[in-house]
Amino acid sequence: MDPHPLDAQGLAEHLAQAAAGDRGAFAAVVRHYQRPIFSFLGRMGLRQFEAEELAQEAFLRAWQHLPQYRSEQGAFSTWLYTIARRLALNELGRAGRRLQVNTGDAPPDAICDRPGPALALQRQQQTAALLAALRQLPAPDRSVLALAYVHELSLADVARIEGCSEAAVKARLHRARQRLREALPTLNPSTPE
Amino acid sequence: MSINIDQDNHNHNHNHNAGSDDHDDRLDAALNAPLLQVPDDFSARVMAALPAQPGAVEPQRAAVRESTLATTHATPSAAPRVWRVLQAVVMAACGTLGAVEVLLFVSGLWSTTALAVG
Repeated sequence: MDPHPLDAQGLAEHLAQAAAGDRGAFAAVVRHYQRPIFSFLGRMGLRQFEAEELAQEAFLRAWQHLPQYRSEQGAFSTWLYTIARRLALNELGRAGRRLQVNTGDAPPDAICDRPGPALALQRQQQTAALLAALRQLPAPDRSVLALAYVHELSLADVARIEGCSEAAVKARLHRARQRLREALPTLNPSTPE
Repeated sequence: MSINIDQDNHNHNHNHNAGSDDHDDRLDAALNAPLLQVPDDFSARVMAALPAQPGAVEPQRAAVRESTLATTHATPSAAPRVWRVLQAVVMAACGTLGAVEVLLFVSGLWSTTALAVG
């Protein structure tokens, strides 16, 4: 689904070129990761403008620290999500009050595919409800949940980013999903989709 | 549903009832859907904000940057280091010249006084 896919070899080449100062190569890396990073930040319960700032900062830091990145120490995605997660948790810590449940939030921007008006409205409402439910979760639960749905990351990667064992990730993930289910009445099976 | 969630759920499709599965599927679908939109010009904005080279730090950011960044400045700071060494050499030379001049002045005073007394 990524409009700018890079395979593993292509990504490695672009990263090497970017580390040598090739801005065009880094632009390709940004385009490759921008959508999953925004999805991750969305699952962290951040608003659109906050996600835009944090995603930009994450890529900026990645560029600045790129000479220090060593592929043998881990995948670039793990490294990038570690940066994004830290920034997101800092933001959540700073703006805890702002990120409390706020049912008066404006619905997020419509998703790119445009269904009919009724379905689009329903999707917007569901997305708004999901964001509100995510914001009710403690930051660590949100973090593990947001990382778990990044397709590029394995359970071991999530455990590494979270700094805990895989078993602990599974337990935290189970708890986070349970809490999210409880906080998300609109996704009840009886609710028509 | 992402791969790692599959791992986490331990093949829940075979273990749980249909209602629970349906709810989990809806939850997975909702979490997999893009909750936020990537602005069309996002990559351009990022590129506009980047310093010229990886490892370079904007002046206003330097104060708050982690100490780990300091190690990335080896190449960009080579020219300033030469400049600092040159400054130190010039300062040392000027200091030495000044000290010699003071000593010559004191020596002249001493000689003149000695001659006058003698």
